[in-house]
Amino acid sequence: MASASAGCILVVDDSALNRKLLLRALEREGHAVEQAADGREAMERLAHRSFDVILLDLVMPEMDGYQTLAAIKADDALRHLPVIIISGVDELDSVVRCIEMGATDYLPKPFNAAILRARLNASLAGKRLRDLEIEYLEQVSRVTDAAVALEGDAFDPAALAGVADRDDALGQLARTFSTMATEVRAREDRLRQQVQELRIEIDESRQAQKVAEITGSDYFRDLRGRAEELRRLRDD
Amino acid sequence: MTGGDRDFLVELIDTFVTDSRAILAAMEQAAAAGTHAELQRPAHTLKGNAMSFGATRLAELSRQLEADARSGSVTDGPRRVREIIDEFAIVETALDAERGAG
Repeated sequence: MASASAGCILVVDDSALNRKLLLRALEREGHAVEQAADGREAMERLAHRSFDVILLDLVMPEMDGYQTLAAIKADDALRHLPVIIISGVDELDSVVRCIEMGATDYLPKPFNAAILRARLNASLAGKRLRDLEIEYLEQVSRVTDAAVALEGDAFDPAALAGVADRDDALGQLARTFSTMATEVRAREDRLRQQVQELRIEIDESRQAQKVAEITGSDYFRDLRGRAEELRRLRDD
Repeated sequence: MTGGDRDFLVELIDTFVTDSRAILAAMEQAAAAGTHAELQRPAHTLKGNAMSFGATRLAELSRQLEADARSGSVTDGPRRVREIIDEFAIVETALDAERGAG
């Protein structure tokens, strides 16, 4: 049965038995599950799909749990992914070492379904909170980018579409910013239009003034007199 | 462990038996070759799998061998592995009975 807190889980364990047990328990909780038999296979899966939580065994061939954890924590795209260490009760020193390396929690083997559920849900809640934080920071960045674009006269209201849909303070800021920026642009457009119209009026006025100056001059009057005289001679 | 799902239980037993045979073969080889450090990982996996089935003696023998292999203090590898193989045979017989009981 899928629950509201269902996530996408990667199980990394060289024991096929343990993978089957975890797969069954996780799928019953509604989670989507992928599995890997060692760290190398896990890193390949992590490169091609996003997961919400990793359940990681320590003693494995090829690339063990420590190496896998170190690789995850060294990767900017993966380092915030919660990692739950699967360990035996006699491996607490290893668990401590892994938590110091950045692991979120540990799951004792053989695992108990209630403990698995509780630890997984806690990690999923942490992951979702982190995802929201990242999304928030990304959207704050879009608002500041919009402010820079506005200064450069390149603001596009569509750039804030997703942010303005939020129903929190950031959404209010984005909506107000977008409305004001649109109003400022419309006002600027109107002013430009008025300036253009004024220029045309000034040009026309100047031309009329020049015409008046020319027609009012002695030279023009003399020319006009000559033209009339020529017209009279032609008619006679 | 299986929530009453008989088919799943049989699938788990088959997985456990198949994997354990491969693990024990690798352990026998390492013990015969005297490469005792190579006993650590298979002993670790067998320990975990045995615990999942409640095979406590098999798990404990594997745990001891894993610890000794880690510290480099295995002196009687072939005998230790033989002891684990004998214990696995007992577990396998019990699991066969469980599989047939359905």
